[in-house]
Amino acid sequence: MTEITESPETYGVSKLNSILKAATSRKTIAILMLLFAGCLVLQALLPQKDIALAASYARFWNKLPFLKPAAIFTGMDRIASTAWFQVIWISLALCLALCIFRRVTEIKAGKTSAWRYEVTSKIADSGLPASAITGALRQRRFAPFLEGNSIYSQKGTQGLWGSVIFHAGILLVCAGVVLSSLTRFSGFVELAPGQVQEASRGYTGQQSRSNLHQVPEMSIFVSDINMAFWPDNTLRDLSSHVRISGRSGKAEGTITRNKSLRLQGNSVNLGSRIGPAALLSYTGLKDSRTVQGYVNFPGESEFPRNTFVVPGINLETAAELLGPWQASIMGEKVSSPVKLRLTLTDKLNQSAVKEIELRQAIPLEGGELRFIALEPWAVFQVIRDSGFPLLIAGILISLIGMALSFLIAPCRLKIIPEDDGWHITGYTSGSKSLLLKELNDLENSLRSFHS
Amino acid sequence: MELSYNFYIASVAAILASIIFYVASLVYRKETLRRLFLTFSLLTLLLLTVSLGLRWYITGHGPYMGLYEVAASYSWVLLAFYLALQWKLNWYRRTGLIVLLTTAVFLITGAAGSAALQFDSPSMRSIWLWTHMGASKLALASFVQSASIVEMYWHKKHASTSLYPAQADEGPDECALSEAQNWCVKLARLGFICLTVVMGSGILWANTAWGNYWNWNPVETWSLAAWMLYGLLLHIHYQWKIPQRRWAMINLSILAFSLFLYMVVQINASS
Repeated sequence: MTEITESPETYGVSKLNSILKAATSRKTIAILMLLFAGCLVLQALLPQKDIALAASYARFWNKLPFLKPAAIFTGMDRIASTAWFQVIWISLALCLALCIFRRVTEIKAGKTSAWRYEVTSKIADSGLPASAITGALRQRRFAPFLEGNSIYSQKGTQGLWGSVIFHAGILLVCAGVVLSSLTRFSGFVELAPGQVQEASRGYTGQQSRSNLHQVPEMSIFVSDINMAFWPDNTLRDLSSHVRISGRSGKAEGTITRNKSLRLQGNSVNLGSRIGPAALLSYTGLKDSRTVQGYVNFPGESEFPRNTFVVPGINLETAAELLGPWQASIMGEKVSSPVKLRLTLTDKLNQSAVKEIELRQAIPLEGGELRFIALEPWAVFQVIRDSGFPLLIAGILISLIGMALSFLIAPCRLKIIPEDDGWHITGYTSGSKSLLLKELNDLENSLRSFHS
Repeated sequence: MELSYNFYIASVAAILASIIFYVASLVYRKETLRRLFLTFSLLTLLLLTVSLGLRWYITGHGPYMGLYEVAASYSWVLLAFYLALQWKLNWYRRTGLIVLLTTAVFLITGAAGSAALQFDSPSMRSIWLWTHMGASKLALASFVQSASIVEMYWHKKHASTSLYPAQADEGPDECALSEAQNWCVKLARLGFICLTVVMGSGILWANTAWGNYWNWNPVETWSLAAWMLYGLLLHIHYQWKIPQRRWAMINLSILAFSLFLYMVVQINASS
């Protein structure tokens, strides 16, 4: 009954068609995909220069001194930024775009090459009226139409477009990645409650890959920072209430490690690093002028000192934070109070070490230094990325395309009256067995009608 | 915590016993041995469920912190998926070695990791991360089940050899093989969709939690490589006319290579 053949490919012989055919051939696609996958495998296995820890990178490549020069020359230690990697993935993206174009052309033209399988058989005797066949087709959710003596019908054609939509989504992802690499800006700032970051001051660790980025013009004000710790002093909860204001808008809300605040294409995220910030003030005895400022300390107690400069009197202090700062910030009772160890250096470069407890003051030259409060600081990361929404849209579109392609099996039928009866040719780009089942079911329903 | 760990170790013993009975049932073709293999597989799943449930209750978070928890959860999903398919599909009863061996490798790897209590951090409490974890387990289970069709071809090849001394058996017929092949393509597709969801949800989570959605770190690069290889596998199925048996071998090779690469990446990361 069944004769299963691959659909014949018929194309014109123009040069453009030949190039298109070569660029979108199975071999080209397979080679490019394998090359790209191979680059990714190498990148996963070999420590990369700006990604792996410096110690791991050095340790690995120093173990292979005979390979190291060749690896550096060919770019094996920084594959993602090499020219040949860019060529491979751009070629793959171009090939993908051409494949989409070719596929759309095939589907619109109704070419049989769009269908993977073709099955031909006799389905009914010649005595059966066409109306019986169209009725049976409608029952099976086909949409039949007559053309001359022949009956044509199809269903599930959305499935044909599924692979096109999926690959178009991937192309959109590539476009998003390119846009992101050109326009992305990220920077961070450490802020404690009550502190404001103005755009004009810039950000720490600013990163962008090109000059096309825009530095976000907005100010960030931190109202409060809330944190909680597990028994082993690791961070349990972290949130912050912030207010951001830009050129023509404001936004306010609570941000967490998984929730950011957005304004005019910029987003403010909460980073992972936290630490204690000592709020110090210096009051001059002569003019009662008060200078206040935060000194941020890293979370690890072994880290060296921070500096608090008292302007106007050329007094520089280097400070170390001692004591259980987490418990102190949480307001818990502590056995030993938090204190600052100050190394005071005056204009004659003479140093003295003094300790000052929380909420205490010590006399300094010409004034008094007070340790007002201990607050938490957190890292706020500012990001502006035009390509990211495009990337997400691409992923969503590709998922929709996959769902269409995998859930809907497109099927086309052509039923022609021959001398010995009605002959059917079925086409599908989905499962061969499902097509056979469809034809068998149709044949059975027509047989029951006939009997 | 110790009770949870004891159940885990017991599940390792149970899966090893299950593998032994499975191999014995292949060689001696006795229904009793097959029933013992199924019993021990179910016992493994039950012990793992209790272990994971206890640990979840104590830690207050899902099984996604540390090698021990991650390996246990992957093993649970692998085994549950396999037993569900065993129950639903007749032809699937002829497969199992690949799934059981993969589950055993994960369980033993997890046992080698530290079972010490780990508290989760604020960045771990994200719907995108949970989607990422769930989809990755489903992806692995789908790919492993899909690759296990190789066993059916092996059965067919060795059905009438001296490996089966007692009862005569022609191995799976063409109809069963065809149905199995359809299911394996479906499972490979499902795995591919899940892997796409894994990468998409990971990107969304990383962008907010870490401020950068792609860092080219080894695990991310590995996932993209695996996605590309499985995309190539599906391309081969849809576009190339190759024997189904060869496609099954390519499928198994990609799975083995991806898992091997993942292990190497994890070892490099931990050292």
